[in-house]
Amino acid sequence: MPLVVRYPLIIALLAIYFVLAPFGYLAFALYARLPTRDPDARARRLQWVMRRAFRLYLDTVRTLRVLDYDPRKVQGRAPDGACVLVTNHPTLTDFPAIVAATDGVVTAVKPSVYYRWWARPLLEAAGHFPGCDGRPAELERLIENACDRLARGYRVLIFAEGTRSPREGGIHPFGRAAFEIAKRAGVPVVPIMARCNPRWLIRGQGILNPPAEMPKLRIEVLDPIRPTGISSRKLRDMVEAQVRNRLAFHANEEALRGAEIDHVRLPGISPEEAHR
Amino acid sequence: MSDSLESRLKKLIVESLMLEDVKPEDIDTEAPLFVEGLGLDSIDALELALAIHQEFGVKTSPEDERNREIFYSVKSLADFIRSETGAATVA
Repeated sequence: MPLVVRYPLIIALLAIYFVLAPFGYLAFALYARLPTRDPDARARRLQWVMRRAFRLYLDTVRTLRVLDYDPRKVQGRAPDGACVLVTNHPTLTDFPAIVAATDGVVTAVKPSVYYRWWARPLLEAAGHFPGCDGRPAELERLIENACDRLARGYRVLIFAEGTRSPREGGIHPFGRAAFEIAKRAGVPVVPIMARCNPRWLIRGQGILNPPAEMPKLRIEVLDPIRPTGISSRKLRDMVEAQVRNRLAFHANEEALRGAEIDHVRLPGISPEEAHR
Repeated sequence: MSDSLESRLKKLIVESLMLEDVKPEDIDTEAPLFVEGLGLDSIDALELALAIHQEFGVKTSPEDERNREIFYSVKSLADFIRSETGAATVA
């Protein structure tokens, strides 16, 4: 689809968002502030609402051909119960993509977002917690909060790169916090590979600057790893290597597919003739 | 005398952080411990602070703005421990 058509679609998407978002926010905010005897039941209901809202958003962007991603077709599945989901962070949309595909997810939210007056009550009620700004005290608090959520049976999602993946491609080295959390809580680590091709909503790229082709977002949930008898350093290295390998595998597969297409599209020869 | 504190610190770093491929004598007393030097990370900083507290009875606050200077190298850590406890008791 040419960019000249995709721009109006993105603007339509933004319009839909800005019309619906205040209603969604109000409903969410009211529900989050209702007194409750069971904060976990409320958190789970809010997470359910968030999951449905993200599904609606992702279905809309897919229908408008802005982003090709279906949360129902994610490869692999996280185990039941508490675990640490560890992923790379190629695009802003991987967070809604993972949450839309997985139940009971809480995450460490960037402090600059978490502490905004309008965001904090909602995020807190839904079980999310503040991320780390680099100070040791904040890191200690992050680990404690994450272990508390795991003890309550949630899945904790951590973007192990600490920021979005580099603009020029590849991924940043993984930090160790996610693995230390899994070790301290004694829960499995579930590596998740996120891939967006062509890349969109990377750091510094606005929503109104889409690539020429519709981006395809793919989420792959890999086999869980039990953290027993292994240091968090080793665990980190293993998971980072697994994610890098899956990314390389998909990149190679796409390169091969591209080469095959180039091969069969010889000028004046149909693909069937070229294959004969 | 002062060498022994640095040596104890190097041994403590290797043992408490379970650095498998590093020997205490490989650690340069004045080289940075974090990122570009020994390559320690923020989790290591928390563990090292706890280990120093247990070994030397010296506590660093996670909120202390001097942490970056204190944890810069083995030498800066040794200077901090001496200043907090008095050289005679730890060297």
